[in-house]
Amino acid sequence: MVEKTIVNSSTKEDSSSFSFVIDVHNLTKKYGDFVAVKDLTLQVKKGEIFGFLGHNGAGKTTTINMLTTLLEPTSGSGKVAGHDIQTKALEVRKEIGYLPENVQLYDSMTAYENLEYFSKLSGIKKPDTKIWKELDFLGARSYADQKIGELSKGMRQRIGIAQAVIHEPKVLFLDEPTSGLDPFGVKQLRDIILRLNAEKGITIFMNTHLLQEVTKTCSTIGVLNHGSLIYVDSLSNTMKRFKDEQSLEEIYLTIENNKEE
Amino acid sequence: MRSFFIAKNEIQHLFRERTFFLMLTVFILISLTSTYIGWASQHTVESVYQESVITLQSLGKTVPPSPFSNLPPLEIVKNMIIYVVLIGSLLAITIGHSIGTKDQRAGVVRILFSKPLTKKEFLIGKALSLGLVLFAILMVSLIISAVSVAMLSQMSIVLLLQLIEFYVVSFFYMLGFGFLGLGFGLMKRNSAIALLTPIVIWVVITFALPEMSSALYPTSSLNPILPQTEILNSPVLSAIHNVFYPFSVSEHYRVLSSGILNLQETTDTIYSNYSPIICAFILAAWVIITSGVSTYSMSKFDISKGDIYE
Repeated sequence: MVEKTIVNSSTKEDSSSFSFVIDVHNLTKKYGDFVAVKDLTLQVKKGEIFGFLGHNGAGKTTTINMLTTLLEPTSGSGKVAGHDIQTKALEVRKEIGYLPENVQLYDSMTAYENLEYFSKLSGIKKPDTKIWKELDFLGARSYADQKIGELSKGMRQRIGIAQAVIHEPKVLFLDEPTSGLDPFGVKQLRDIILRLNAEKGITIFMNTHLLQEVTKTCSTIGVLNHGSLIYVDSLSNTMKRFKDEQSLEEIYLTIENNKEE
Repeated sequence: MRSFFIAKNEIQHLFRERTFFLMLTVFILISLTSTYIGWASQHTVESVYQESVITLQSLGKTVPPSPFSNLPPLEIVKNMIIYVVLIGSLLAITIGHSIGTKDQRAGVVRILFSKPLTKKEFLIGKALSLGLVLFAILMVSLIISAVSVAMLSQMSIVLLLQLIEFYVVSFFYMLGFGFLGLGFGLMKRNSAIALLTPIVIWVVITFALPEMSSALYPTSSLNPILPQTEILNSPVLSAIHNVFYPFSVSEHYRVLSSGILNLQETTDTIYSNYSPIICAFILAAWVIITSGVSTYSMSKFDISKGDIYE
């Protein structure tokens, strides 16, 4: 039986100095009798890339919706970037970036116009310099004047990321970011995620059910099963703990099976 | 401040939509032609009258006075009242619907509300864009009407003020329908239902309610002579009229506008219209209630599911 390891990552020794950018306790979301997320307690350290794993319908998107203040929890409490997700929603939103699954932007507007609009909503009064800087960072400068509807999914994803990070958030929430991308697009996006974390110091919370994605990008993983968090630990610890399993896929299945037993 | 960005974005989008452009073109063309049609119909009857004057004078008969000798100068814009009721309100619904559903259709609701944006700012931005677009359209229409009245009839400060007053009333009347389009656009997840619902309300207000109130006395709308038949004085008809008449917003708009433009009623009815003050009060209530629909829709708007749209 695998025990749930909470707040575990690669550097346990300096746990006293951890500054958690995500800190939730007993977070629960119910829709009538259906419990989408049950008593979720989770901490994510500053600078981590946290992979939130789970099968379809496990409650990953509901969790992100609560953390990004789009959805009111039924019970429990949580802080993102030091602000309460229930009472300080606007403060939370100032500190986060969010890219939903199957990113959509305004098709009839150009990439630049989309970024200008979202920047202003993020509170940037004169966003021009930041827009070009972000487009350069993401290798999308040449697409600035193209309408979103004319862009490939991969390029649209980059513009989506640009809108999410242009205001320099502390945490970036990505919901199934590689969904629908071809292998080349997946690799490019993975590189962008790693660069955002390394060069801009953005903590990344990423929902996914693709295990390969997790091994190549995440420092810590959490596994959600039917709304309950059944495992949290650093990727390196996880690999050590389950050394008998050949791949993360086997580890994941072992964790899920053990929980169900 | 974010409301202004929302409003600016809405207006930019609106001017890229074909349906909006089609309705706008129809409305502007109608504004252009309405005064001419009003003038042409007067001119035709006046020409016929002048012909009859010559004939009657040659026969040595008494010449009756011209039927248009006492008509007010703004009589030639009276068709605009009908056009506002029939096309202006539909245009307002289309604009409101487009503004209300734009973000859901684009699938950006969750991105929008992951920014420090409140529902209140979002709604104010949308309502502001609705008001500004309607204002701009009616301003263009006012200029067209004023210029054409000056060219075809006569113009003075008083007449211009009357025209402005008429367009202000038209603005609020159309704004109510715009709020309905906006409210149902935010409320309904299905684009077709979101558009059809306010259109059904428009049909009820524009056609059904007048049928059950002012048009209950059919001879009065055909014949300027008061109905003589007793059956038209039936207490049942009176009761139906009394129940439905207060809600007949289009009828009150028509009465109020006719009063502002100093138009003569060509028909008499056995019931009396509400006074302009009551009509204005009902129009104000109309705007308040419909804006309440939008506010209610926004309060129920699920920002975590706003992107799921049919």
